[in-house]
Amino acid sequence: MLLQQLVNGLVAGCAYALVALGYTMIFGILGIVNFAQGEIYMYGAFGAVLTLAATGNLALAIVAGIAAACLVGVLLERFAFRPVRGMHPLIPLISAIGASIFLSSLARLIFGPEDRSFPLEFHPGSHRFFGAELTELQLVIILVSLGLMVVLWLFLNLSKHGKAIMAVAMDSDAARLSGINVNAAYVTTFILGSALSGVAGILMAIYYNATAPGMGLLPGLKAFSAAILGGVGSIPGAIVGGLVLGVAENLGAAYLSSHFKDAFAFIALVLVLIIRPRGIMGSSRS
Amino acid sequence: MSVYILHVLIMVSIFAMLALSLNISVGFAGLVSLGHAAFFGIGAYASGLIMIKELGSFPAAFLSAGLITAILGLALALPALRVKDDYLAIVTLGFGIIVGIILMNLEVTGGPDGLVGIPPVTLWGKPLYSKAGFLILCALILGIMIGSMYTLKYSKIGRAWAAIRDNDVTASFMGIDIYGYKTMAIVVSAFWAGLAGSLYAHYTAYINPHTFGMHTSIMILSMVVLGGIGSIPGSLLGAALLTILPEVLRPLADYQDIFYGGLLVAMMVFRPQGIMGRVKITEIFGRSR
Amino acid sequence: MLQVRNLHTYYGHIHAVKGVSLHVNPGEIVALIGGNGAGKSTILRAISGIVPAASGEIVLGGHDITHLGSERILKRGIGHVPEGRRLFRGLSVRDNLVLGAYSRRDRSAVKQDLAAMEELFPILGRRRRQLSGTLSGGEQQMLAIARTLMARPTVLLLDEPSMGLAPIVVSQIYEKIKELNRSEGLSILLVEQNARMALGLAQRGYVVETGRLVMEGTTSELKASNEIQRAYLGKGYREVWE
Repeated sequence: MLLQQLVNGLVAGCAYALVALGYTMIFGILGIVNFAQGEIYMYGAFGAVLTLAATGNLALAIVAGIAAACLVGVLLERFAFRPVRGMHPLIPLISAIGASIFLSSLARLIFGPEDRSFPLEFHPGSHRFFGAELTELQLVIILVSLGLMVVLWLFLNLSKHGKAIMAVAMDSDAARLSGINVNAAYVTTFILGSALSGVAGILMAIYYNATAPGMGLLPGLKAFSAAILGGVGSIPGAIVGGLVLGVAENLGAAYLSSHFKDAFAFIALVLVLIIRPRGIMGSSRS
Repeated sequence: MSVYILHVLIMVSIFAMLALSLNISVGFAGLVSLGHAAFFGIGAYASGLIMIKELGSFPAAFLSAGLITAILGLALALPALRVKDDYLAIVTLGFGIIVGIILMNLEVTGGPDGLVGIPPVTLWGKPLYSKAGFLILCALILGIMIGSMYTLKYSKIGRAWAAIRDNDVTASFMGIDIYGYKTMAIVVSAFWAGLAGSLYAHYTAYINPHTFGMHTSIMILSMVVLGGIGSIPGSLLGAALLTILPEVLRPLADYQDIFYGGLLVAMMVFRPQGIMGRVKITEIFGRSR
Repeated sequence: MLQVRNLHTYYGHIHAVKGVSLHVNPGEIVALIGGNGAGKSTILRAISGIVPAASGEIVLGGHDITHLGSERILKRGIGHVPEGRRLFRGLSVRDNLVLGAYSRRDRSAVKQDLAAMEELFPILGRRRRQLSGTLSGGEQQMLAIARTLMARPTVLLLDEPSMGLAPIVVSQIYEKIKELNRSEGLSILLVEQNARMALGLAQRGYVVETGRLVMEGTTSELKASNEIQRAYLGKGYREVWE
């Protein structure tokens, strides 16, 4: 039973981790909290669901979903964040909140509020080990998520452009003087973060067989808690935070109280900010 | 005056109290709160429960609601103020969500169905059923609130808050107890929000947790921002606009939130100091990271 | 040749640079001296595009670069080593150098330059993989200069290289700068609060006070001037203090 909760928690945690990476990258480089990250997740899911319904081609649907998420991210950067760059952090925060409300209600208007199922044809098998059940779908989710995280890590640490993005996060003026196009770095970061959140949205839409305009709100907030839990601005921290949160949430729901499951993420958030604001893996500098 | 207009005016005055109370922490002291509706809800439930269980008359319930909310505000402030500025907003958000979940799941608060059958306001033993009378009561309380806010703003406390809002490190060097004053701002802010909650509970006779969630918190913040952070007439204007607007746009209800979200973004991009805010506020708020 | 004509810049409402004109001939080392907050760094930052010029012109080799973005100005050949070094502290020494060459496309030449930098500043080769934030002050300054040199600039803007460094370290760095100027013909605009060292290295100099140019001339002229000696070179301090 414990192992089963761990498995379930890991799956949820992977989704949180992917979205948390989006938050952390954007916060690390632009210094703003992208409150609309959950909406990007949602549009990714919708892009996939609608494309699948229209074409029946799963691969195309996934690409379309990611593209939709990235498009939303780019538009957000251009219209909600770039105009208010450099101002007191409250201003981009409110702008992000407004964008989040705008995007989710727009989706509600266009797509309608009901849940949509994800019309997949195959029936995944499952494996049992040590008394826990791991479905193939769960395995796919975990592997895809971990794979993406590895790819992101490789990009940021080994490629010239990845290092340039990290350089912009460390010192944007010095980056400018090194010939790095800082605006391009910001947009790229948004695209990367959006792609990851979009994938998370698609995976969760398949997993829960439900896509709805409001689906991004709670996961978005929880992923944000995970990013802080793991350490703001720390990429490995976002991953650790996401996985830990997913597991803790499931364990809490199973052993403490299922009513308050959704509260655990926020209780964890408040506790972390009070006890150890830099998070599990954050450095002691701000 | 038509019943409908009276209703709208009552809602405006209640939200004006909420916007003004939030303005104390955000506008006067510079503390962002994304969970203000939680205080609203705590006051509403406290007052409602006190009168349902016949633990006291309306004046007692009303004041107790304010005090209970203030105490919970203190409980929030003590740990929350220890975090860095940027994170305070998120902590308050988390607080708001936690309170919402608790209200949703406790037996005594009626769970997701909320509290039914809250008794109306009773003054000197007589229940107040007339909307006009209730509006007068709200206006009186709002008037007292506005008066006390002006007094606060131009008092020593208000000046200390302004110094903290501009730059709390500098303020502490000047000998101001920033921790104490910030706590005071949150507690006073919570107190008034609790009073507003009490009025609301006894007006609508039925409350449920959904009213006091994040959407409402954001709406209250928007009223403050729209009207102008730190501006008292601004909060009144913001509350009026954002309460009346949904009514006016009722036929376009589907488009309401779209408009509303777009308005927030547009405000931040084009006029972050709000309608009545002084331009100076943006310069203060224009510190870059 | 780098020319600055009647440059004005503002920080919000503050008029930081008030009509400054100067020039750097090819192969020259020009010093820009003045007290703290005089606006010297701001002039450099306007040249490299970090700070916008409110009015005036900045011309490089006959081309107007006043309103170009920093990346394009770097491509045109102006490299700026900023005040305070501003390294990418979380990245290694090697990564900092690689990023200095970010705008270049000639891969093999970049590799050669990396080796050349490590020859010029051997300490960088020894500490190649070390996090740049953990280097000593002098090593960081050398890395900052090397990073900018990786872009193969023709004009180098050096902002207070001696700040916070021990005199012997500063001498070493100044030696390298002299070498670069001699061997590569690198033109250098050197901002320093340490007037003595700057005037020792440069051929010409400008003196800036509260955003305005108050004096200019060859270094011998400046060194001989009484005002400079009193204000910046310590002459007469005995008379004042005793």
